[in-house]
Amino acid sequence: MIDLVQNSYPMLLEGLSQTLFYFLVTLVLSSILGLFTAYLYSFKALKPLISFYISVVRGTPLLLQLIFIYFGLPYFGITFSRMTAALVGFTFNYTGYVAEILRGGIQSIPSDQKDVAFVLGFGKGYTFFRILLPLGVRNSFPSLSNEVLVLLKDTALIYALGLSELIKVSRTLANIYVSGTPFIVVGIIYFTLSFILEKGLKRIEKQMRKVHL
Amino acid sequence: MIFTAENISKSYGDLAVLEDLSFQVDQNEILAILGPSGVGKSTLLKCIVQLEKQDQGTFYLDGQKLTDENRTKVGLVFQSSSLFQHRHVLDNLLMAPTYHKLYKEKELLEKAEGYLREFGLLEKKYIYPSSLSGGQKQRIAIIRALLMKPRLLCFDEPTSSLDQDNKTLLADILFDIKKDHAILLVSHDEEFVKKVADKSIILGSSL
Repeated sequence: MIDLVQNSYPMLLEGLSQTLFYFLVTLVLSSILGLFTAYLYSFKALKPLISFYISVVRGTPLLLQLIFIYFGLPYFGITFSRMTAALVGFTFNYTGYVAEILRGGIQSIPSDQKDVAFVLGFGKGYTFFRILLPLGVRNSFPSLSNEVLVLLKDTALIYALGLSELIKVSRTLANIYVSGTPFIVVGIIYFTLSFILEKGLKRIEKQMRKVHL
Repeated sequence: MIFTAENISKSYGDLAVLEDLSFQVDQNEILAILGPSGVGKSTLLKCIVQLEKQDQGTFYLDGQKLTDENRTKVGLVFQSSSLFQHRHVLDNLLMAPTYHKLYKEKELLEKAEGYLREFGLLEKKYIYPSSLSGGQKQRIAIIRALLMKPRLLCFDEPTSSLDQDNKTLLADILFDIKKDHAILLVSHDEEFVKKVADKSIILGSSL
């Protein structure tokens, strides 16, 4: 196994960098957009539209969403590169999940916090971003952390669009070395990344509870 | 007259909670609304601060109809103090006056620290609400309301979670605040009301 890693680390690093690229870009984009979607949810007129969007995201497989965006949309005259399709698909999906998790976190805030904000005369935007959102993020952080870990593993789905990442590298290496070991190596890489990420998120969660509770 | 409630009525379905209620609160006066749970005392406060809309009647502040424009001139100290849990004490105090640009930055800080000193809480200014006692939280909530320069200050069941020492302390604070404000107190604590109120109303009849 060590020989395999030594001989093929440039390919593994390239796959890892691609995995991390899709993970980080999706994480940033869907966090920002999810936050705004959760905010828009507080406008009555937009609620049905956002509810429908979230239902679509939750009710269809992410793989199907990715395939539709890359292979299906061209039939409607919309064409994306593989990379853009992957990022659009992931962001579309994870924005919905982030928004839904935040909405739940915000809903669980005691109503008196919202009442106080109203009595003090804070505007809707200020109340959401300065009062409700920080409390909502704290309430929903365990679920958000879980989504982050799922996202890391979901990046493997871009393999279906023909993009190169860790899974594709493992298949290529398995063919070259006629061995199943590359899959184990890639599994160890995923596990290590998830482990580090999980520890980091737990530490953030602990800090949040220490400061705010 | 600072505050006037004129013919206020409020129902939930068929249940009439407030019926044609009228009263006035003057400067340097504490008016108490007494009554058992469920008679609409808190509903009245919610209508005053516009968390709910009364079915009929009008509130006036300094002779002007109470609207969205001037509603922040009515302060409310909630039953459960309701400090923002994710902000330390000083932040809780500075947020609203800063948002409304009521003071210059330095003036606001001095004013907030002045109140904290007066209420014996200066050393708590960087503490989060979860580490404060019920009485301390309430005093912070009072300071927060005072920093908004209210014309009328309302209290919802202020003694509900206080021990005797804190009740005495609250009474002293109310007497002190009364010098510059009109106060409306909603409570079921008759003993406390007798001690601090200048006038009291049992919902439906005047004492």
